Amino acid sequence: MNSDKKTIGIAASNASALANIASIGRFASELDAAKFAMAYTIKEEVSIGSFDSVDTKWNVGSFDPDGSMRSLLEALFPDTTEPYRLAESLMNEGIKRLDEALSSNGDFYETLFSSK
Amino acid sequence: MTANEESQFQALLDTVERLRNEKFSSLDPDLVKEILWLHANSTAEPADLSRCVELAVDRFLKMEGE
Amino acid sequence: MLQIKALHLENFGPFKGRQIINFSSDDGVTIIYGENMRGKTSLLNAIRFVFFGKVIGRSTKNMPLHKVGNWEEASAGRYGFSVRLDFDDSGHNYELTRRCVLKSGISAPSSDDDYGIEHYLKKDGDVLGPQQSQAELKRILPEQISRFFLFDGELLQEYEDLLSSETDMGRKISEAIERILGVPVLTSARATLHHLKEKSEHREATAAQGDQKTREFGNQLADLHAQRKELGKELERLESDLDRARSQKASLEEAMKKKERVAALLEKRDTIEKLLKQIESKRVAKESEVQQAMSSAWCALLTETLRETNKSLRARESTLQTELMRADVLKSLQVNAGAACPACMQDVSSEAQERLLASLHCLSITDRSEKDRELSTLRRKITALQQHEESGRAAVLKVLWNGLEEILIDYSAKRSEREEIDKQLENVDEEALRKTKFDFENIIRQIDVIEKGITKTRATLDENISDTEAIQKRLNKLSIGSVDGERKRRQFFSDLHSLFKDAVGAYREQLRKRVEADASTHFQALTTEPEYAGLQINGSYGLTIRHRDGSLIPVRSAGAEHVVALCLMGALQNNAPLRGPIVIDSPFGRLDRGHTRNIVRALPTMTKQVVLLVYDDELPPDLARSELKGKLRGEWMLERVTARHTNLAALKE
Repeated sequence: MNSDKKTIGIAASNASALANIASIGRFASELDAAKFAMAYTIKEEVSIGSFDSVDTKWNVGSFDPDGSMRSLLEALFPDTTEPYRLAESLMNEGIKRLDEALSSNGDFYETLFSSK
Repeated sequence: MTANEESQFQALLDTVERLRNEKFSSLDPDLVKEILWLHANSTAEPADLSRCVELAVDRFLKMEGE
Repeated sequence: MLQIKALHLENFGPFKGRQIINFSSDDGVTIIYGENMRGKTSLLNAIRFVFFGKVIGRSTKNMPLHKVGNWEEASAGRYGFSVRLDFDDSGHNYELTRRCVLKSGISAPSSDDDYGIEHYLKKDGDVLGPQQSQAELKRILPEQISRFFLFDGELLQEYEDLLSSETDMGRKISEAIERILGVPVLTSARATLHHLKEKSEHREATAAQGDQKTREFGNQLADLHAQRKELGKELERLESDLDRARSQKASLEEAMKKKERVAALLEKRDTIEKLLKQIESKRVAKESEVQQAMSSAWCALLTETLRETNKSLRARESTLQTELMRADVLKSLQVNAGAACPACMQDVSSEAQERLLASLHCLSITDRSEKDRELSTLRRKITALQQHEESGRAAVLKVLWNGLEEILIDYSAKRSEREEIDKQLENVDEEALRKTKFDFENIIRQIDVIEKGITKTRATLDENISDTEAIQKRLNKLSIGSVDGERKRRQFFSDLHSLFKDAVGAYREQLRKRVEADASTHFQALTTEPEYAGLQINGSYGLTIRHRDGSLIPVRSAGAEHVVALCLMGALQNNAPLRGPIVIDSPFGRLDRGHTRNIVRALPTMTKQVVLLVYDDELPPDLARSELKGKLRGEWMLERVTARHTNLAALKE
């Protein structure tokens, strides 16, 4: 039986940060911004902290319509058995860190285009 | 009339007289001079001035007829 | 002839308190020396003010009167000023006074509305009534030609207007010149005779109506006469409308000229507004493009990671594939012992077969399906990685972001520009300016309509006149006593009218020739250029320099403008019954020593009284004294007391 999450949520503490990132990053939707935050965490290879309860934002059907996201996460994180739960954690961590980086005079353009 | 005004009047008269002589010799020179003088010196309203000229012309025509 | 006797100033410009300058009653030149900013132009302005209630500042602009009073007095709380001019004209003596007085209740004036203007004219000791006073002043010095007596070397633009008969100002000035040269005597005689001719035609028509033989002609003539009267009124109305419209156009032109800079700024701002709108549209479109592209930004961020992972997964895939392939080969060897190798289709020797079988460890069925599953999963992951790696096109995204950035920078720059212009336009009444422009365009259309109306009316009038003449010809053939008498009378008036009509043209032509000749004579005395033969006049009394080879010199320097303007002044003085003093501010500022000498020598021959307002370098006192000799009647000095207080001091009276 698959215990993985059926919905993806954002921590209450991250709600306004997500909106901010969506605006600064010129994303068409908060979902796009959240995916970006998730990718940011992956790229920066940071450890994922813990989060308070999340408020459901999207169901996995919206997040991963063709299942490729799940495959990708499984490819990147072979040990994971719950890729959607992982995605949610990665997103929330990413939103928190991006928000911090942008608040301390970080430039979104640099974040987007700098190579590690 | 001041001296300058007189000389100006003379200049005007010379022009008119020359033309009268050339093209309108049937017109009486004294009458023409009188008409010019009225316009150079009168401070009357145009209607009164016109009346004066008309009277002068009629007077002349009457004398001619007699 | 107008002759100035004394100028009384009270707190006018830098002339603090009451000061008087007296002029000699003998013919000649009075020179007033003063450095820049000492009050030379103020003296000229004082005469303008006392005659016309106006003071001119820089570039021909009227200066607000509340700024004219002495500043030192103003800072002590004493406001207002006055000027009195004592002069003679045509055997009478006059005292003209004009005062600018603070209105009661006002303690700190800030505009012309805080002042009232009082003026009166005394003739031979008696104060004249306002209408009489106005009529006298108009006769003595009409404002339109005052520029030829009160001559400011700096204000040459006014003279330039004469060269263009197209400008309304040019036309007004030439009308004013004709007025003092006597043309109105003829034009008014022409008008009177025209009226009497019409009247006599009407009488003739009435007489013709009185007789049966001529009644029909009489009726027609009467009708035509009535029509002509109406057409005449209509024409008069249109011409007056045209005059008014042209005046309005001139004022609007003047207003627009003053506001040219502001108008240019407004236009620039409007252009920028349009551009901003365009850029905004571009921005919106670009933002939308960026937004769409940003949906795969997360892929772009992970391009390297995805590639690395893809690489390692592909390696694993390759390994797995190899393993599975080997297992298939071995199995087929087992199953088809002795047959060819299923991979390369070559015969397998029996020794090789034995060796292979010895090291064989075939995959069990469970192992096999596990590996199949793993391969399938791997391929799914590789597909996903590939898909997202391809969609993360960082380069394209960068181009879009850069493009958007450029648009935003452009927008910001334009907006700054517009804000800068807004600052400059802060106190400007835009509405008023736009209205002026609108009114100007309107008035041009109006003028066009009126001019067309005039042309049409004139054409109808001409038709009427020609029809009238035709009928009169036919009437002339019939000899009826009463009608004959009227006809003769009508013919007489007609001839008189034609005579004076021709005289107007002939006299104008003569005048122009005389003014041209006199101006040329003056010019030859003033110019230092031997190849210049004289001056040529145009229809509105503008003068152009003529080379001895007959060609015209179209463009000239400010200095040459001075000289030509002086020549016109001299010629007008020669030909007009209106003669007066020439008062010139900075006459030699733009002239070399040669021209200066010539002019100083020639001035006393142009008119009886000359007043020169100069500074030392412009006209050294020694030069003036040696050139003028006995014609130098007075020398004054404008002495500095403080920066805002000048005293008039006589050097020699």
